[in-house]
Amino acid sequence: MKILVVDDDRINNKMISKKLEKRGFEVVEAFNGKQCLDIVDQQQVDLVLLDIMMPDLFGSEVLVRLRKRFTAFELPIIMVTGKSETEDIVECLKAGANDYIVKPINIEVALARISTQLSLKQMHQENLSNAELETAQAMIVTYNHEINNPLTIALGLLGRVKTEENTATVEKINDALFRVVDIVKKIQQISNDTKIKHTEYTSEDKMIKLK
Amino acid sequence: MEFDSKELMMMFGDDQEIYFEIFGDFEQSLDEMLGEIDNAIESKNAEALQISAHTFKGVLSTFCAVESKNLAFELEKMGRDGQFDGAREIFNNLKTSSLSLISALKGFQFSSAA
Repeated sequence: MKILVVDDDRINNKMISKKLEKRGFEVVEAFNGKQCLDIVDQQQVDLVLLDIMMPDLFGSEVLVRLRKRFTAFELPIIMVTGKSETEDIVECLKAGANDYIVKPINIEVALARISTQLSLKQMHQENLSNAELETAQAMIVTYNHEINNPLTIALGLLGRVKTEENTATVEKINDALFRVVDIVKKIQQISNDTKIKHTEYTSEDKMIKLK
Repeated sequence: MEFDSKELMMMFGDDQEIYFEIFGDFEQSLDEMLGEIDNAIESKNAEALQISAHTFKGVLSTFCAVESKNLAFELEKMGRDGQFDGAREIFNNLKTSSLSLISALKGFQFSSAA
């Protein structure tokens, strides 16, 4: 997991970065708001620890800019603040900060809050992924159903139009239609084998109603 | 007392190598950080005073230096309010207490604090 530590105070920045690295996190450091925004543009970051008071761009302004692009689940942001900055904390929480920690940073408290936010982010991503799988599966079931119906009709009618003159042609059409039947079965099999089918949606398949 | 040794032990007891590294950084950058506050007072730049004192307060807080931190906080508030009366005196006290802090931290031993 990659954490971006943003603080103009290089000593605090180094302290928290080193402590996090020691505990297994990958850490990127930024020393002002602009650097923070640049890094988020260029790299995949899992969470931001953002100091509120910085000279070029206040942490609260950086927060607002980041929240225009990322939800609280996509990019958790934990504000870092002095004990006396209660008003700033409230403003930041209203503006979309996930949480805050107070300086001097107690690493155990910081780790607990970081872990909570990363877990929530992971759960959100899994939910999104499950929803996508569920949609894909419902589409497969729907398409199979919609294809099977006309296919059955076509195969049934094919026998009726068969004459001595068109036997070869009708058999070719028949073979082609059975190849479609085979493909539909294989797609259905893939749908049955999806993880989501076996873990969470074991009851009935869902379908999307086609207009 | 320049700093709270129990608090410092709690902060760095498991990370002593990090403590020694950042203490070296603190010692090296002390003049620069004090210089920024000094310049802000000299030029009566309220915003610069607020930011520089705030940053220094953060560092002092990392080393659990309560008294020095309070002085830095006084300066930060003066910067926020655009008030410079008495700032020079507080700065001088901050400078003295910061130098004492450096000496005290140099002599700090985790084994005796434990």
